[in-house]
Amino acid sequence: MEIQEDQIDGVLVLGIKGRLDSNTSKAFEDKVNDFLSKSVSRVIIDFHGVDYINSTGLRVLLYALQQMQKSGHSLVLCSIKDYMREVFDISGYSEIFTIEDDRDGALRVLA
Amino acid sequence: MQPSETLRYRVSGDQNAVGVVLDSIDEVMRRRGLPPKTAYQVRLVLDEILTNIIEYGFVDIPFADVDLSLRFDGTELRVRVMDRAKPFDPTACRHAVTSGKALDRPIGGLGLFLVRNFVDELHYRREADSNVLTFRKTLIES
Repeated sequence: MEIQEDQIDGVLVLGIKGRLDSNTSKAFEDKVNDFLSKSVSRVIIDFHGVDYINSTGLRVLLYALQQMQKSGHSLVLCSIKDYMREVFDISGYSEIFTIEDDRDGALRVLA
Repeated sequence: MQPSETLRYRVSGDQNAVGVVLDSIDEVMRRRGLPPKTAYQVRLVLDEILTNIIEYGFVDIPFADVDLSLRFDGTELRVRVMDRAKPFDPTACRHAVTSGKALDRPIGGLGLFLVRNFVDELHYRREADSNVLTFRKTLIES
């Protein structure tokens, strides 16, 4: 699993490639704690390269959202593959996360 | 229609072993032409079940390999997971929180909820010193 960081229009964009599962969740959580500790106020997590997520990965996402909300900061997800959208829907994540179809859409939300 | 096949695995007690087994099953599903959504759901269900056993089942008892058998048969997948971990019934689980504000939701609890959602039947029984979990999932084979 790899995480690419980009700064676009003052927004931190994390492009994840690979799986978000029990083997990779620690690295993912470390990256989350990294941007939380720096008080980054606008973050996009881009799932374009993510081919798999399990409950461990979902747990880290919820943790990230909770911490961002506590600080009044914004987190947007984008580019989740069709076959994984159902997991976000049934977990009730579609209700609490802003999920955009692509990076441009996510950047527009945060502009 | 692909011929039926049965796969058997023994899973040893670490997350890497689980990953290796899941990768092998992914390859079988790819060969059988299962669509990405079905393959994802099968991997997810097995991942959640096996991870749960390994993380919680052997906390204070010696680890014993988990036996996994899968049968791909026409439009169905039948799976049996046997382990000698502590008694644990995944069908009798606490409610996952899937609604309400983000800050009101507990972290965790989704794994077995996802399992129940992506299988068509799930059965548990305790046999002597083993947990036996079986499930059936309807597949759509191309």
